[in-house]
Amino acid sequence: MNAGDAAPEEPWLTALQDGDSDRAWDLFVGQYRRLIFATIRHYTRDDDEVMDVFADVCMALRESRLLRLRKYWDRPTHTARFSSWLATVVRHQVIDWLRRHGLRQRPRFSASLSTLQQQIFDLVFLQGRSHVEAYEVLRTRSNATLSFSIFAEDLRATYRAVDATRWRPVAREIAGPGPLSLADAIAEEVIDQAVVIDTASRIASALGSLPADERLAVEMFVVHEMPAAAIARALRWPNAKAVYNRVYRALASVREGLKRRGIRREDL
Amino acid sequence: MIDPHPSEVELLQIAAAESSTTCDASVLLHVAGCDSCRHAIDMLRAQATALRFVSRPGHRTDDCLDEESIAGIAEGNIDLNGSPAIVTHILGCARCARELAAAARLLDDAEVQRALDDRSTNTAPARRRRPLVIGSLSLAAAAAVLALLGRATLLSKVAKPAYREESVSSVAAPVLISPTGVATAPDTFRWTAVPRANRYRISVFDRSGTVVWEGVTRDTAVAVPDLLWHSANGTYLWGVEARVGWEDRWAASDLAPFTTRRASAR
Repeated sequence: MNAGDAAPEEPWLTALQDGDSDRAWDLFVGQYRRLIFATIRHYTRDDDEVMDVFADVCMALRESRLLRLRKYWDRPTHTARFSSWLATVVRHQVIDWLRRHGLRQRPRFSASLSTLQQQIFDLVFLQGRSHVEAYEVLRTRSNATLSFSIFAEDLRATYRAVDATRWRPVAREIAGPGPLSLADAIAEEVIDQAVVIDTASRIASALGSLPADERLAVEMFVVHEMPAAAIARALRWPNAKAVYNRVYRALASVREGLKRRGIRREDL
Repeated sequence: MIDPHPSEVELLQIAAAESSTTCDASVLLHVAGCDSCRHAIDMLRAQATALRFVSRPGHRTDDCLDEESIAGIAEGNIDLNGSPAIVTHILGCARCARELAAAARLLDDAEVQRALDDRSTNTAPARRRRPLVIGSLSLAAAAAVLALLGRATLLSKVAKPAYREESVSSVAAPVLISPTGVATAPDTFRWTAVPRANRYRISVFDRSGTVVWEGVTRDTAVAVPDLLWHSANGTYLWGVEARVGWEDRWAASDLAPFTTRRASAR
């Protein structure tokens, strides 16, 4: 498809094509400043940070005579509108900036975390490790007797602590969604590292028998918290409700399949 | 249970949300008293949790989706049903899956949506005229931003498609004289004259880039407006544009910061 929203007759693009990158930049910022600010404000509402990130984004976009912007238009065809692409590009800048200047500066809330939770924060939110990896690192480095259930409890507590701060949006981008709360009876059965890895592997394997679109919907909705409406758009399903229905049934069929192979419900 | 069981949609919504505040109260009441529904929710959560425990975004590879593809999928321009290679990649690459989910959440943001729908509007996020509190870091950043943004703010108002005369950059720009730095009681903005200039436009910005005051004069000085004195120790940036000739062409000065210190006599 051809992107239709930033047609080549836009003044900033015309100026860019004429070789006047200064003027192109002036016009570009005038036109897209609101979108850039909205993107930044999706991740931080702190006024100082918004302006600092904006400066960083502007410098990156203006670099080498608007090289990044030119690269988009150098492509013969486009799969996304220019403005959507721009928001995605700015998002990367924002996350990178906040990771460097925010999370790595040890936000004040981290002092309220226990030692274990601070270690989890480092491994999961700063280093981007998976939960299971973080557990293995902790066992190897500092606490060989750490049980997975204690780890899982503190992992949830760390997520809750982060969620209560203004860092939630960016922290979730880096660490991904946290574990969900489980009833005690289930948790006791499930929260064991070996069981978790085994269960995840079985579920992934069982999901493999589903049609690709359903498998993708499950993965994107359940694991990555993609909005159901966006999944429906991407898969050309009628609406968000269709996503809920099909994901629910896909998970139910996975459970049934595992049960037929003799795996207990509690192992899920 | 007398009440009917919640639908699959409702059960999944409850299971996927850590907080159940978005669910209907009657559904939550039912679930609270229904072992079968609670168990179904727990099973869903256990499945999700097991998958999340092991999910880890790997490093970027040559096969990973670029930003345009991610944006295209998130906004629904790419039909994944007709793109099996992309689906296969996303299913095997937690990094791209996470990027896609994040882009979709961003594009679903109400403020971003409004900006996407109305991107031709030249307004800043908010033209606030609030009391100013300046942080320690922001001035340098604000100066950097306004060096980029200020000219755009001013020049975008007067953009013309093409110039046949000498370019704006070849016209002498005004040079700011005062105030700069900490100004205890500045009462006048002063700048140098520009040959053939018939009008000057003065703009004062707060650190968020918002124009807090603008004035136009034929002179090379103008009184500092009272509103800048409403908050003590406010830090601003100011600049001047000179209009040269009658073609609505303007030459902009650099921007200079100044801090107002409320003097006791004032």
